[in-house]
Amino acid sequence: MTPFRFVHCADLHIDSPFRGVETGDAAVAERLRRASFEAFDAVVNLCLEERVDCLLIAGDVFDSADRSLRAQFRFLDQMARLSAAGIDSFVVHGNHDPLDGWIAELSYPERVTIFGPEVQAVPLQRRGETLAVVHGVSYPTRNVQENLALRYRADPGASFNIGLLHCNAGADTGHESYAPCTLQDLSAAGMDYWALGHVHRPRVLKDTSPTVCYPGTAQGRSPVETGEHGCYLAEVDETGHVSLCLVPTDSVRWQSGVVALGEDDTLGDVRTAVGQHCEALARKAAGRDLIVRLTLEGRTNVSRELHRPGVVTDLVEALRESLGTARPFVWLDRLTISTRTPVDRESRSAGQDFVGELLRQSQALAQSADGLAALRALLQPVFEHSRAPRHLREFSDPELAEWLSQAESRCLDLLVKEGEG
Amino acid sequence: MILRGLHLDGFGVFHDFALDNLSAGLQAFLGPNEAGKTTLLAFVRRLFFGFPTKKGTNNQYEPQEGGQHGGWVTVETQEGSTFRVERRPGPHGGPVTLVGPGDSQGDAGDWQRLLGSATQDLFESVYAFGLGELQDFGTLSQEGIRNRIYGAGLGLGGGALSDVQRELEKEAAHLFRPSGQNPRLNRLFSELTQTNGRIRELQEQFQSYAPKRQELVAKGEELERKQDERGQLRTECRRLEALLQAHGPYLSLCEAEDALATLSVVEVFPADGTARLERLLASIGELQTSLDAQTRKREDLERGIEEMPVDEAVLTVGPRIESLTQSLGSIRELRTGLPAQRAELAQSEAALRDTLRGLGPEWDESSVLSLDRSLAVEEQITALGSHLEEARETVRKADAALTHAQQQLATAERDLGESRETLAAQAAAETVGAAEWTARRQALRQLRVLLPERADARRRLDDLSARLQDLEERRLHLESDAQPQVLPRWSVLAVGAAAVAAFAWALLTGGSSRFDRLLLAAVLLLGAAYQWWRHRVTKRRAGDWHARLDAQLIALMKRIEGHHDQRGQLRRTLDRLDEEIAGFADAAHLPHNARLPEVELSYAAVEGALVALQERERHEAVARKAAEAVARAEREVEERGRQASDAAREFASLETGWRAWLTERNLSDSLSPQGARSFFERVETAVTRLTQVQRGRELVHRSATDLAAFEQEVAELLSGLHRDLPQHLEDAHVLALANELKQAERTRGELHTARAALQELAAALTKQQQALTRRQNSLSSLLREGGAAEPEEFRRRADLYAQRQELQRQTAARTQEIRNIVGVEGFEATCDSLASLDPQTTRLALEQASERLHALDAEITERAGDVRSVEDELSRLASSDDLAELLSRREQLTADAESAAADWAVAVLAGHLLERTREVYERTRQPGVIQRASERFARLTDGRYSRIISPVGEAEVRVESPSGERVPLPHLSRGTQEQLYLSLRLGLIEEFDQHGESLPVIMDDILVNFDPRRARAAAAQLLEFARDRQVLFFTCHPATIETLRSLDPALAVNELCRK
Repeated sequence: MTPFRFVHCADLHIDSPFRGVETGDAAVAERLRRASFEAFDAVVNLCLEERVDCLLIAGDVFDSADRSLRAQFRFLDQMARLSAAGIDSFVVHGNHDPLDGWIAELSYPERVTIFGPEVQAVPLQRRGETLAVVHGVSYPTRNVQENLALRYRADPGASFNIGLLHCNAGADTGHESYAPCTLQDLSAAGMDYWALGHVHRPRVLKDTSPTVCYPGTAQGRSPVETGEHGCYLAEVDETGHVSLCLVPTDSVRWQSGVVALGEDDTLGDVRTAVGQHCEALARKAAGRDLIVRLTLEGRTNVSRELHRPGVVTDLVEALRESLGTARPFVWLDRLTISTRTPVDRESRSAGQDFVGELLRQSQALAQSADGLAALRALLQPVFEHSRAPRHLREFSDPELAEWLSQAESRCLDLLVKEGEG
Repeated sequence: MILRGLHLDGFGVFHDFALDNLSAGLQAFLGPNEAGKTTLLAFVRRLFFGFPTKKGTNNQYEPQEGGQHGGWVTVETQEGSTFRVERRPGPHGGPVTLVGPGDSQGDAGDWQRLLGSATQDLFESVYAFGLGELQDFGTLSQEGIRNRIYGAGLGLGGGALSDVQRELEKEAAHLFRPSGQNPRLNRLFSELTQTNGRIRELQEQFQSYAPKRQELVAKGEELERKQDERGQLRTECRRLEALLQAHGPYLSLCEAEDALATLSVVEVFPADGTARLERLLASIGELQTSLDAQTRKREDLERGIEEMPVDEAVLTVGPRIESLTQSLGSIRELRTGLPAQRAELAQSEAALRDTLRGLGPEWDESSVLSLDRSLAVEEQITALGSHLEEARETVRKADAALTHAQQQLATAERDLGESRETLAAQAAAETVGAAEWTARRQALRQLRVLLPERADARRRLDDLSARLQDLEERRLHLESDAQPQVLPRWSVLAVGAAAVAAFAWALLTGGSSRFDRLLLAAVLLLGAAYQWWRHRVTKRRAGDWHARLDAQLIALMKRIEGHHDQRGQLRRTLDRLDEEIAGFADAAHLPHNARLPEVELSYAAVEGALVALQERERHEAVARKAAEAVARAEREVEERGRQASDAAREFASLETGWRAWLTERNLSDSLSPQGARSFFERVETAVTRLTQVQRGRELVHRSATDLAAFEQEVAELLSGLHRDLPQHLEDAHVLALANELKQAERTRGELHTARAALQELAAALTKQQQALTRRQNSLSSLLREGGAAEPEEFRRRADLYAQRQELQRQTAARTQEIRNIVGVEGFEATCDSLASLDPQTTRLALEQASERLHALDAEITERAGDVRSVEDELSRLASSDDLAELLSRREQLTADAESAAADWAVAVLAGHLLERTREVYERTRQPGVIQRASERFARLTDGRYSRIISPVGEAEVRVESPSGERVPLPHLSRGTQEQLYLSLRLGLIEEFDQHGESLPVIMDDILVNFDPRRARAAAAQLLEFARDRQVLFFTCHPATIETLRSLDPALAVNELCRK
């Protein structure tokens, strides 16, 4: 067979916002808004530079719920670039951009195939020769629970069959279970390469016969999507063997980490430690902008200071000023305080003083279902507020227990003098 | 836990300071201010709970008198075990060395276990309190009182509980209030709602993209239609306007064509004929007139020429006459100047003679000219003169220096004499040497130090003796104290025996009174038992009393011993001081019992003598310096004399050379260089005057020669013209000849001019005649051209021609005008239309069309605006960034809300935890504290108030009288409030002792503000309180100690001295 090359990407989510980022800086916010566009531009540029034969996009190009016209026009422009360069594009829609979701009526250029609600097989040709056949189907609606993989059948006359599908293979518990299927289902369809989408982290489920992989999202957009993101550059040789190379396309990267504090550390030491940690992360980011979330841990005397209102905010602001203005920037999104005052809880909880009683009461509440229920009732005014965001209204028992633990630490910070363990 | 001993190795003002054999019960510490009470308190606190870090403003109590920082204490636990706890400053409070029973070793952890749940804050807030707390108790609010009461017992370090709760509530309120607007979460929720609304609006707008595209297409088509209609309407309007515009010219055209048809035909006529005719006729007239005038003029000129005569002879010698006339001026000057020239020449010759005389008799005109006056000679004179002058100056300076040195020498010899005289006078006044005075002064200085020291030692000895006496008295008092009585055993035995006998008697005898007897026996038995119990109790009490007495006596003896030692030391010190003072008094030549004022007087005298010695030394130095100056001046005089001689020799040599130079040049050898320069100047003057004389002579000769030549020339000229020669030739004769010459020349010129004018006139006449002939020919030709024989006819034909021309011009103009309006091609058709045109109708049609056009313009403008608007809207939708910004903003707000909600949850839960704990704490602890405090308060107030009331959960604290009247705390007097606080504090301590290891209680002068009665009552309570624990009572008031002693004579008192 004739060797050929293609790029496989998915979950572009063009123009969808970053989730959970607190950006007060206008320049950083603008940068984040442009990140998904730049990631897709990088994918298209890769296709043009590598002169691939086609681009496969496995769903969730944008989020219909956002109704971003700009995203669709941008997508259209990039498709036009590829078409002008003689590169075919094959696109399936996923749960975030189903066919019945809102999509502007735009005319796509030649060489762009948007798969419909029924499985279609479209040949990939180069100068009259069919290099492969691409099979694909788009989500007709958002919530598809059918195993769409069962509808795929390879073309026996084709030298190479590609299956393009947005699905949850292997019932990945980290993602919503749309179009669930198993690896066996995928293997049974007779494809040589499954170009999947939906899982946002790159993963190869099977190396060969067939090659099954998720390229992940081209640009991480939430704190859980840390590390490198990109697309696959695939090369099919004359034997049909597929070689994959993950090419990073993200221009902004999420990172998280833990900074351990010592007992005698001061606020200045904290600032220095956090700054150094961010700089170390920046060095590994290969020139990319970073969004960083850090957690401070440890038993330290400065825990009292850190828990006072406004202290962490000021610390974060100071670090943002010094790190956020550099280019590429390191944006400290959140600094979570999980430190504890160096109080010997075990011995203090046996004491007969007020602190001992408080520790005992805290433990009793944490271990009592009625106690936790009473605490939940206390929190109703905010968490069941009519204007509260939907997902704020639900918090789990572990979260409640963590807040109770923080409340206990806060009480100790306020009640116990420094130096008195 | 009881503190048995303290040892301060190095701590503040203490060095190697020990307090041992501290016992249970009340231990009093008496010391003045600055004695170290606070330091001791700090030492106990730090030994127990650790040294603070060096950060902040903590007083580290660094050793001031030496020793290693820190120390150790000896404690005895409730179980009776004794431990030695040593601690030094260091990290985490400092390293602890714990030595227990059997020399078992321990560390900080073991020590902490011994302390149990006791913490530094608990110690400071429960077990240690002072006067300040009692004093400000009365200023507290209800809540403050409650916090003070329970806050101390809560063992909190960060402040009052209510303050903490308020802080948490404030935190929570800052984050959220149920119906608030400004708290952070309230604002976030509000902004989220608005943002979601805006997002929905934008998304709805984006959905309208396709319909808007269709709308754009429809509006574009409608716009095009209206633009077409407007184009057609404009064309029609232009056509109507053209017709109306061309109508006027058309009518004019028709009129012109009609008029042309009625005129006679004059096809051809000379251009500008009339004007030409008139010009020709005028020209001919002018020429004729001019011709006549010229002819008359020629005749006059011819007559004038005939009447002009000319003198040729004068004209012939004219140049000679002119030459003479020209030189007349210079001849006049010569004639005038010659006498002056001669006079000047005579003066010059006289001056020259004078100058030559000034040089010398041997000097004449030739010798002056032959003298070498070159620049080289002048320079030689200058050089030699300069050398001579320098040598003379050198001689003068050397003489002046010599004179100055001689004056210096005289002055130095005078100073030396004076110094020697002064020294001689001073030598007679000295009697004692400097060493002797110095020794005396040293001795006096020592006496100034030792005398006050001795006085101080004597005073301290007296104080110590007095204290010793006190202690002895106390010892006697203790020894003579009556010991408690012990119930004797024999009384017990006696009663017991009686009981036994009674029993026996009851058993052995019978009868109805046996029961009574048995009862009696039983009573006696009980009595015996009671006696036995009394015996045991009194014996135990006696034992305790003896033990206490022994301990007190031992302590007292120790102190007495110590005082004796101190007294012995002081006496030895005094003896030593006496010896030293005696020795120094001898050295200072003072009596041994000299006092300080005498010492001061003697010291002043010694100082004066030492000053006088210093003065003599100074004068000797001055004399030495004067002798040195004399020697230097003599040497100077010798040197200057030598220099003056050398300068004089040099000068004489130069002068000899100069004389020789003068002689070589035949100049007088008495001349100085300046004189030589003057001589040469005179020679220059002589040469100049000689030159002037020679020039004057030449001038006079030339002038005389020129005058003679002139007169000769004039005479010859007059002779040639046959004129008479005068005796004396004067300038007037020459001037007369010059006038004649001018006259002849003028006449000749006029004749020449007249002849020329006549020729010109003849030529002009000829020209004019020719011009006249040409004009007449032109006139004939013009008349023929115009078809006329006479000028009048010619004019008439010209008018006709002009009219025709005008009409033709008008016709052409109107035609062109119409063509300009309608175009060349539409001319014929327009004319046809215009032939039948009704202007009024046409105007009306035009107005209607214009109105419609105007309306159409407005519609098109509006439609174009609509189209642009839709295009802009589509473009904005396609490129809008607003939705992305809003979506990002929503994510930010949501993240912020999550974070704020978590913070709020923590604040609310923390407040809830505190309140819950407080309720539990108060419910379990409060009753015991209040009960104990109530009992003690009743005793302190002598029963005036029977109990304290503080219901759980309520803020107010009140006291109740026996009658049931409840009084709030602010209504109590300050003293009663202090008693209340004292009672509560002691109650708290007792409560805490129930639940853990009790610590030594420390009180700092808490009775000082009580009146004597209250102080006594409080002291009694304290002593009773101290029965079961150790109380360290610090005071600087001996009266307080006396009050305590009056209640407990065996009170242990430790005295602290001022450091």
